Amino acid sequence: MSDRELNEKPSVDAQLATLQAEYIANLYERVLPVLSLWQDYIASNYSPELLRDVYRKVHAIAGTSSILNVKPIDRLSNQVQIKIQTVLQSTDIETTLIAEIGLTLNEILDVAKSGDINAPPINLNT
Amino acid sequence: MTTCPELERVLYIEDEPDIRLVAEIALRQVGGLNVITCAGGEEGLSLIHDFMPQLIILDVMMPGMDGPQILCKLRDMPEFETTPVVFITAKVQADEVEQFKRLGAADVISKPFNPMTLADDVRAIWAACDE
Repeated sequence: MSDRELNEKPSVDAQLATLQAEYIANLYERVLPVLSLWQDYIASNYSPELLRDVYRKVHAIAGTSSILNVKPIDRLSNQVQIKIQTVLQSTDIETTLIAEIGLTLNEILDVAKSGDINAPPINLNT
Repeated sequence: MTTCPELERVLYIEDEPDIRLVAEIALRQVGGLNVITCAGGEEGLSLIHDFMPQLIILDVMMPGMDGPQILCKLRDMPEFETTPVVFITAKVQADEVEQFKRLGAADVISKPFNPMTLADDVRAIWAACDE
């Protein structure tokens, strides 16, 4: 890479900030299909396979949100993951937990839709 | 006495595009490594002979082939049966780290990783593999 290319390349901080901003801007479109899948799960009379699909999608959102420092989504999606694991491991239909998961998924959607998200810079050099 | 060759080529298989981009910034720009990222096991295994990575980083949970399944495939390839493989996964517990190591992983890096230190962490794992 030439000196000119190096000088023109945005800093690491700037690139990470752009990635974070783009992720937040597109978050609503990304969360919406998870809610749709959740409705399918409820309509299926609690199919474990559909719940595992929901888990995989929430896991992906949690992982990306944690790396991009999108803290509210990271926190809420982790709550959902833990509750889904409990439901999957239970032999009974955990109606209270299932209701809580639905509420938290809707909360994630509301936060994503608002765009008002606390997201500190990614590169903290710590 | 032999010295550990310098780590240059790293393959990172991860299904999340945003995480791949952060990893590319962390490993290539910050860490100066030659990195190829792939979205899945099939793509990664299709180019592995051309790239000949010295170290491979695998996300654990992916659609299609997951990280442990890719590791099994790699161990069936004579050229990669001893190539260090590092799993990367969210909020990993100590017993899970041991489980991944029993599968043959050199080490486990937990998400979220720090983009400024990821390359150093990977180099440290690489150096430890030679000890």
